[in-house]
Amino acid sequence: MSIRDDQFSYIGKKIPLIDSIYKVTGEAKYLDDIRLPGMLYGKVLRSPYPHAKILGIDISKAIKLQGVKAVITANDTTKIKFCHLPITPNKMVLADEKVRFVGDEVAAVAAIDEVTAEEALDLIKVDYEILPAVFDPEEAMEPGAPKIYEDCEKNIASRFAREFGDIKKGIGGSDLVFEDRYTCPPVVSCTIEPHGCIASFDIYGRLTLWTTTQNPYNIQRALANVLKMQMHNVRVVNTFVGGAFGNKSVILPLEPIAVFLAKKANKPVKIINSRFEEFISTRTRYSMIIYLKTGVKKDGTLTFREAKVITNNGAYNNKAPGITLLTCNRIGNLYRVPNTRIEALIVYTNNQYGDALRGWGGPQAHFAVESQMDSIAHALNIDPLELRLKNANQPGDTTPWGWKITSCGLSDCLKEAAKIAGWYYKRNQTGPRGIGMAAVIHTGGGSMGTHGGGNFSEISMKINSDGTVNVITGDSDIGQGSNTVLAQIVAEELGVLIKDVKITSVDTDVTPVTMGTWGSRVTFICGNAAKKAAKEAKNELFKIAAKMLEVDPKDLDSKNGKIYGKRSPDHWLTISEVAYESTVKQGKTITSKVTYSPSNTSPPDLKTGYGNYCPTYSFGVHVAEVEVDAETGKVKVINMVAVHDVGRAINPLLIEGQIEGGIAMGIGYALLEKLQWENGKTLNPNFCTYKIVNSTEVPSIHTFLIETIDPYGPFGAKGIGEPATIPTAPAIANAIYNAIGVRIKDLPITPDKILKALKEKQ
Amino acid sequence: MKHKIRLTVNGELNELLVDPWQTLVDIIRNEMGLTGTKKGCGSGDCGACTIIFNGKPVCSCLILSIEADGSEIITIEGLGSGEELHPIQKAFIQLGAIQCGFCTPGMIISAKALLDKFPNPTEEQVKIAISGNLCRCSGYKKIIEAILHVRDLFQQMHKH
Amino acid sequence: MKRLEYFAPNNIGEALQLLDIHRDKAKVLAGGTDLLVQMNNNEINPSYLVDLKKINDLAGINYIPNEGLRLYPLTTISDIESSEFITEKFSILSDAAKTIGSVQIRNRATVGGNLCRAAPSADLAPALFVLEAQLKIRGIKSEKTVPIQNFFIGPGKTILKYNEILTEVIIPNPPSLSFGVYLKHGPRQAMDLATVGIAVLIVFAPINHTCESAKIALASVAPTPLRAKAAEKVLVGEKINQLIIDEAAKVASEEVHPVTDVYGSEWYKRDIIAVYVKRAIKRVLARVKDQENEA
Repeated sequence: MSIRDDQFSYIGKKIPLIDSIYKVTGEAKYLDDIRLPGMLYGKVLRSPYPHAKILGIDISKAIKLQGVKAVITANDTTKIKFCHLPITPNKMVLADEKVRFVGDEVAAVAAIDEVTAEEALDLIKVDYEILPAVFDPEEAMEPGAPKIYEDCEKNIASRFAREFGDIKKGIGGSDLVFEDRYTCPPVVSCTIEPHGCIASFDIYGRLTLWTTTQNPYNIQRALANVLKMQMHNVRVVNTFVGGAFGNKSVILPLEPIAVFLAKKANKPVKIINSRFEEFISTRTRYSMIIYLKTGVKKDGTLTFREAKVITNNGAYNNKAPGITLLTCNRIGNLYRVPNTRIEALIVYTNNQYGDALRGWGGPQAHFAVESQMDSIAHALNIDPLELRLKNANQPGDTTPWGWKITSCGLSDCLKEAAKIAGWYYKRNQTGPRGIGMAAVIHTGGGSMGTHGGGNFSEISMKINSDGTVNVITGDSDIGQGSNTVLAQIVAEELGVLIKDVKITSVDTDVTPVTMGTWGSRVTFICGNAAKKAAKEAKNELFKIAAKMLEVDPKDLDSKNGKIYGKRSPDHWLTISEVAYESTVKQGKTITSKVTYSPSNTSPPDLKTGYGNYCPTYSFGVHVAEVEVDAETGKVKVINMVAVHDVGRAINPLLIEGQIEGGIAMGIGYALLEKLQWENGKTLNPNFCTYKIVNSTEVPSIHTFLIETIDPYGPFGAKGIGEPATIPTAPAIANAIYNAIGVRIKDLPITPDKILKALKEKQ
Repeated sequence: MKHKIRLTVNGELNELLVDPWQTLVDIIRNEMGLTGTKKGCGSGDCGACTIIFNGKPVCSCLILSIEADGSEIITIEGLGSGEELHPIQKAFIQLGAIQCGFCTPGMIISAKALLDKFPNPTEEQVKIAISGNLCRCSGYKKIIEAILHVRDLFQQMHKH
Repeated sequence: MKRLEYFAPNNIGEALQLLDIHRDKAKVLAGGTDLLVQMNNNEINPSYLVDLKKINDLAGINYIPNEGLRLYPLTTISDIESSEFITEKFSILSDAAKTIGSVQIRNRATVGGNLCRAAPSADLAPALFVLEAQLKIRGIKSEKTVPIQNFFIGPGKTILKYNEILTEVIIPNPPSLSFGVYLKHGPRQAMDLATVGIAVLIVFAPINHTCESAKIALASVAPTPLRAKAAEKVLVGEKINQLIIDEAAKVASEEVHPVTDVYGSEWYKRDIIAVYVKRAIKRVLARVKDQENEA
C-alpha cells in the first residue's frame, strides 16, 4: 500500500478552521453567552469631563436601590496603579482624585439585572471641579499648557532617541532631501464582540475570571498585581474571542472592576461594554505626528532617514513606548537605510489612551515612509517600483539597527505584485483611476524584550491510548486560526489524522504560560514548540513501534495515522495500536513538553536599542487601484493585489482570510476611520457615524503567497496577521496620487480633503 | 408588570413572561438560552443579532420582546446542527468564511433570508443583502464567495 | 434601556387617548429602528410606549387611479422597495427607500417613523416633498391635512403635538411627462445616513420639452428637509442644457445653510449639493431619453 503520495498531508493545505462547526451552529460560547448561578450585572460610571478633580462621590442613593448588591469607588479598591509596562503605571481601576479623559472610570455598580444597574448609575452623584484640558500633543508640550500630571514637565510621558550609522555622513552624501509631516488618527478596534468579563470568587477567596482576551497570562499577572493576590489564586479562562487585533491583550479597568464588585457583593459579576463604551473608553491605535526627512542620491539610493515621532499618549500609560519604538524601527529598517536618527516624544493629552491595534506602530510608520518613497520616486522621475527594488532589504542583510534578515522575499513580492496588478500599463492610464504600491516589513514571530518580556511558548501533548492527541497550549486562538495551524503542524509531524488532534483552550490553571497572541508570533513561536513537541512524542511512539515491528526506530516514518517501515511500507501498525501498547500494556502514556524561544534573538541593548530581537521578518506588498470622483472627492478602491512572503504557507485558506481582512481594515484606516474628538468628547461613538468597511466597499482582491522557507520557522513558516493590513493605507494614498496628482499626508483621506487639495492644486 | 407572550422559535412554541423593556435579542439569549444570536451594538448597525422574524431578516436588538408576541422566529440554532448542517453553514466552513465567528450566525441568517427570497442573486445583490452585517475579521470576500457558492448549488439542484 | 410600560391599542382613538394621558412621558412605537436605538443608548427614556402596529387602519398601501397613492404610516421601507407598483409609478419613492439602512432595517423601519423622527437626513422626505405629499394628522378631537413642507420644524421636531398621530400620507399622481430621481451621497455605498440627499422632479412640456415645473428637495443640508426654490426657478421655462444645470446647481448650493458636523464640513456639503443637483438633473434627463427610446 502506498502511503507517501504527496510531500505533506496537511502543510500547505486549505484546511477549514477546526472549530468552525461551533461557530456556524451558534454553539461557540463567547463571554456574554456564559451565565453563572446568582450572577449580577455590572455597569461603570464614567467621567463626562476630560480633566477634572473629584471633590466627592455620593453613592448613598444608589446603594439603597432595590436590586443593587454593590457599589464601589476607588476606596473599595487597592488603589494600585497599573499599566502594560510595570515601570510607569498611572491608571487606577477607579479614579481617586482626578479624571483625565471623558470615559475615565469613576464608580461601578452590580445589580440583579442591567436595567437596575443603569438606574443605580443615575443615582450616583459625583462632584467635579472642572480643570482646563489639552487635546493636541504639540499644544500639550507648549508653555502654559494644562498639566495632566503634576510631576510631568511639558506633559511628556517619555522620550527617547535612536541613532544608527553616521547621520552626518548620510546628510552630506545626499543629492536631495525630502521633508514631510504625516498624521495618523486615533482609530478603534471595532471588534464585533465588545470587551467584557465575568468575575467569580469561590468560598476560599479564589478568583476565576472568564474574559475575552488574547493574552490570559498577561491578564492573570496584572490582576494579581492590582488585586494584591497570589497568582495561584487567580484563574483566567479564555472564552471564544469575537475579534481582538491586539486590543484585548492587557487588562482594561473593567476586569478589576468586575472583581472588586464580585468581592463586595459576594456573587459573580458580569460586565460587558456597550458599543458606546467601546468607542469612548477602550484604547485606540495611537495617533501620531511623524516628521520624516529622507535623503537620496540622484539615482534613488537612500542615504539617511531622520524622523521626529510625536505620539499622542492619551491620559494614561499603556504601550506607547514600545509601540513608538516600533514605529521608529520600521522607519529605520524598511528598505536599506544606511543612517538613521530618530527622536520620539510620547505626550500626555486628555484623550482616551492608546494600545496595540494590529500592527503596533507599523501602520503609522509605513504610511509615512511609503507615502514619502512615492514622493521621492516622482521627484526623481523614477518608477516607484524601481525605487523600491533598488533599496529593498535582501536576505542575509544585517541592518544598522542590528536586525538580521534571514528569509526575505521583498524583491519578489514587489515584482510579483507589479506583474499581477498590471503595474506598467495601469500607471499610465488616464482618467479617474490610479494605481499605487506600498511594502511592509514586520516581525514574523514576535519580538524579544521590546515589550517588557521574552518571546516564548510552551506546548505539551499527550497521546491517548486510542491514538488521539490532546495538545495543550497557552496561546489564544482569537479567530485567526492558530489552533488549526497548530493541529496541522502536530498532525503533520506526528503522522496522525488532523481530526484526531484536539487543542485545549487556554485556562491559566492548566495550560502553560506563554507570552500570548500578539506580534504575529503564534505560528512561528508556538508552531515551533508544537513541531518539536510532536517530534519528541513521535520518537517515543517509534521506540515502541520499532519493537513491535522488529525494526530500528530510525527506519520508521508515520503518516495518516499509521507507522510504517521506510523500506517496507507494507509493514505497518496504526498509531492507535502503538499508543494502546504503550499506555495500557506497558503503563506509559506518551507525553511531551517543549518550551520554544528563538535562538537567534536577544533583547535590544538598553542604551542604544541595537539588536536582533525578532526571529524573522515578514514582508509584503500591496498594490491598490482606485477610482477618484474628482467632483465629490470620494475614493473607491477597485482592486487590491496583495503579495506576501509568508515563509511557508501552512494554511493558504487562513492566510488569504487574514490578508483579505487586513485589507478591509487598511481601507478603513486609509479612507474612513477616525475617532472625531472635540474637547475630549467623541463625536462619533457608534457604527453609524464611525464608518468601517462593510460588504459594499470590498474591492476585488487578488492574493499571492511567496514562500521563502524561513530557516527558523516551523516548516519554514512566518507570521501574517499584522503584515496583512500595514501596507494597504499607503498603497491607497499612492494610488490616489497617481490618479489625481494630490498627496494627502493626513489620514483618513476623506472626500473633503481631496476636494480641498484639488482646489489648491488649481 | 410582566406580559405573557407566545412565540414560535425554530418550530417550537414558547410561552414566556417578559418585562416590556426587554429586547427580543435578550429573551432569545437569556430566557430561551439560544446564545447563537449575538449582541454587538444595540443600534441595528452590526447585524450580529439578525434573526428571521415572520419570514424577514431583522435586527432583534431593535425589537422589544413584547412586540414578538405571536411571531415566528428562526435563529441560527434552527438551521442545522452537528449532524446535518445547512448548505450555507457547510459553505461557510469549507470556503473559509469564518474567523472569530462572532458575526457568523447573523451573516448566515442574512444569507439564508436572501437565498430564500432571491434564489439567484448577483454578487452585487449579495453585497447589499449583507451590508447590514459587519465583519471586522474577514474582509467579506470569502463570505460573499460562500453565499454565491450556495446559490450555484441551489441552481444546479433546481435544474435536476 | 430603562423601565417602561407598554400598550398596544387596537384603534387610533385608543392610541390618542393614551398619548393624551401620558403626554411627554409617552412615545409612539412603530418600527423601532430609531426609537429603540435612542432608548438603548439612553438618549431618550419614555415611561410609556404606545405601539401602533396593531392598528389596521394605519397599515397598507392604497392606490386610487384618479387621485394618487395613499401610504399608511406603518408601511415598511421594504414594502415600498418591493412594491412593483410604486417602483413603476412613483419611482422616486422607491429610489429613496432603497438607500435607507440595511435589509434588516428596511424590514422594520416605517414611513411614519422616517417622517416623524424628523431627522434632517430622512431619506423619504425629499422624495415626498417633490411629490407634493400631504400628511393627514389626527388628534383627540381634530383631523387636519398639511402639506409636507409644513410638517418639519426643526431637527427631530415636527408639528405633531404629543397627542397627535400621523395617519396617512397622500401622494397625488405626478403629472404625466414628469420624471424624478433620488440620489444620496454618503461615505459608503450602503448603511449611511445621507451627507446630502436630493430629490428632483421635473415636468416637461409635451412638445418642445422645456421644463414646465421643477422641484428640488434636499435632506441633511438644513435643520429640516427643504425645497431649493431659487434653484427650481432657474430651470422653469427653460430647455435644460449644461449651462442651466450649472446655474441651478450653483444657486442650490448658495441658498441652503448646511452645518459642519460629523458628516462633513459646511463648505464640503455646499460643494456636494452643487454636484448632486447636476447629477440628479442629468439622471432625470437620461430617464426622459430612455423612455423616448423605448417609445
